[in-house]
Amino acid sequence: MGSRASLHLQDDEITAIQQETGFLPNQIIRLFSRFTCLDKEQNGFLTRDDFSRIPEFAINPLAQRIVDTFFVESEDHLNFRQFMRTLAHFRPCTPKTPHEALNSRDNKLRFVFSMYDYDHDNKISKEELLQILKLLVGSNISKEQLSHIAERTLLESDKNNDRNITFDEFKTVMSRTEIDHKMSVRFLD
Amino acid sequence: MVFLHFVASFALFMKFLWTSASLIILLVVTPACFGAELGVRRLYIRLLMKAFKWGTAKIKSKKPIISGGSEEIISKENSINDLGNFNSEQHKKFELGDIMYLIKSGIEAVIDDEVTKRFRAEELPSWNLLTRTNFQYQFISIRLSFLWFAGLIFRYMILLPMRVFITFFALCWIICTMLPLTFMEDTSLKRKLAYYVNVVGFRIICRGFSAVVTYHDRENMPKPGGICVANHTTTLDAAILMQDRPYAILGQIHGGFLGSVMRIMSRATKHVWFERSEVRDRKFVSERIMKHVSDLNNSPVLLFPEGTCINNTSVMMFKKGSFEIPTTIYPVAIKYNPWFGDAFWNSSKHSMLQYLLVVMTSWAIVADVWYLPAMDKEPSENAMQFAERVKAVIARKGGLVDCLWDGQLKRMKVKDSYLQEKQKELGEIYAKSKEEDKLHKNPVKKVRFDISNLEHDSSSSEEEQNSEDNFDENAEIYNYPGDNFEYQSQSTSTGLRVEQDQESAQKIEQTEDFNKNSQDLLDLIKSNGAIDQVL
Repeated sequence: MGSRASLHLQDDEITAIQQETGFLPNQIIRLFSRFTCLDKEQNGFLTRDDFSRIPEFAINPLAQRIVDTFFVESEDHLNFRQFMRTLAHFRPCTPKTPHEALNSRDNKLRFVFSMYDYDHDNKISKEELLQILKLLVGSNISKEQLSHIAERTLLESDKNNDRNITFDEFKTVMSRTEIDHKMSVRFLD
Repeated sequence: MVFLHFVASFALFMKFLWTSASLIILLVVTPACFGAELGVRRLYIRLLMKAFKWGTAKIKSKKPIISGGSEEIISKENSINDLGNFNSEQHKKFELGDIMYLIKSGIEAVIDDEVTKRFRAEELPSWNLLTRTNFQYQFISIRLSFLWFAGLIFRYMILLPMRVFITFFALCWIICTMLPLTFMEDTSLKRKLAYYVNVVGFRIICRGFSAVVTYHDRENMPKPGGICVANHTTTLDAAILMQDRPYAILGQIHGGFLGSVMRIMSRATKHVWFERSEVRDRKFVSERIMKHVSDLNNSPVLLFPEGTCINNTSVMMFKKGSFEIPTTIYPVAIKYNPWFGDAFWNSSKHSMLQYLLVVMTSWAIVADVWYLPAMDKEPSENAMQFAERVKAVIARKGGLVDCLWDGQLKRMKVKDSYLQEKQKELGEIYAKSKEEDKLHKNPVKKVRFDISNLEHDSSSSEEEQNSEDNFDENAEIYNYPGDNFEYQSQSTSTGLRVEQDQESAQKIEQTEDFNKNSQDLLDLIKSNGAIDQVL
């Protein structure tokens, strides 16, 4: 019988993760317990399949893209460090949060940006916008209408008229949105 | 000389075994016959609790206990089921920042969701001296390690052989006491004897895994002419309920030797068993159950509407099949105390035999059983609503979370149609918004809500789903080679929200006949067939 004790987290690993992500030790341990709960085969890593087994997650239209951001570094295997690194983006931030921290306002915005930016070329093209829109509404809106929406969004945000939205243009568009609340998860404790 | 010594010591050993065996039998059987308890087990439980408290204090003094997952990690704010919260106006135009709601919702689901945690053993806030539930606690202090080791020896060397012996004895006892009954005619004397034989037999079985069960509100005990429904944690649920009064179990008769044994037993007490061929005929099944229930000489039928074992922290969706039969429902809530042993049968982790081994080397199985007042279906509600109502009552009494999701998600993935529902909702939000366009002069095209598109998609994906549905059933459902269990794909089987199921349930009742709905019932029969492995 597989025992959770065999996947026990070492103390030095906990400290390392704490430094990198800012999570508290007991939060790290709780999230580790969650990680092992999702890890059906008890391999010490998660696969994309493990994510699709969460019903509330699987019915999210953006599930695929969210999984892609978890698996950014390696295609099939997600270890606990990488898992925590992605989750760290969702810790609440304050004006005092350092710029480089994973949960800074800037990095949260980068996370949203990377959702749109499929090919990681630091630009959102109309094609990429269309892809996201298709994920959101499926076949419930006609292709022409979707193209129309994408065009309109592009024109509103693209200031230098190169038919792409760069990260800076993206930041400008989002400057009045309350990023902290919308992109932070309320960790208890 | 040596040989003589050997024989002498062997003889002594046998004598020892024989005396202890007869002592055990005496101490187990006699109280069972009279429905009494010697009190040994309860005393044992009290002593164990003291040991656990001591152990917890010891652990706390050495290092802070960080509970793995029993408390909430986050407070969820963006539910995927509440896309209405997504925006305040009814229709809005798409903005780049809109996806943040879904991103946060997805991340919250990754961190904590209502379903996956139900299929894993409940985590204890501290340690109960079993290696299987610890985070290497046994290395904390010498005294704790000693206690753990002593416990290990006790459980494997003393408790396990004793329990195995009692269980074997119980099986023989049951066969011996039931056999004479099969020759008797169906008179009231026979029924009285059968009642007694059943209850005593199961009491002995329960002693075989040191079950300490407390029954509450026994005045509400199920009566003949009704169906008893309970939440499902393990196959032992049936044994625990049947040591208080006999029930008629719903199941399939197996082939071969066991099948003949079952057929003989069903002549002693009336169960609702179907031959393999009969299970295909849904109408026949519901009629048989109805017939059984109408005869007040028969025991109430026992059903577990969840259809699968859940880890006893929540009650998952009740299949409406049991609630469509027009008879009284007797709800029963069962809650196990996880400190003494985990009763949950994780069929993907343990086979039946492994599970029994785990149970027999645990400290004990301690449970509370609450008999709830009988419930009837109101004329204004349909079967699904009635099922939800009963489920809520059971969950409240047992201190369990009332979960809307289907227990079959243990084995299956959630269907695509639910994702498509979400896409449809989003489509509705965006489609009708007025797209003001300053640069293009073309008039805004009116988008017709394309329903036919959606239906086509969902039906084709459900067809795919059906052919791919070959989830592993041999854990709880008796697996016959060549059998093709179709898992009902109607939205009546997997519920997301109560309102959704009401609509689809009504649709189905209008367009199809009753028989199709009782597919749920057949699944229940098949899953309850595992009961036979206990007997």
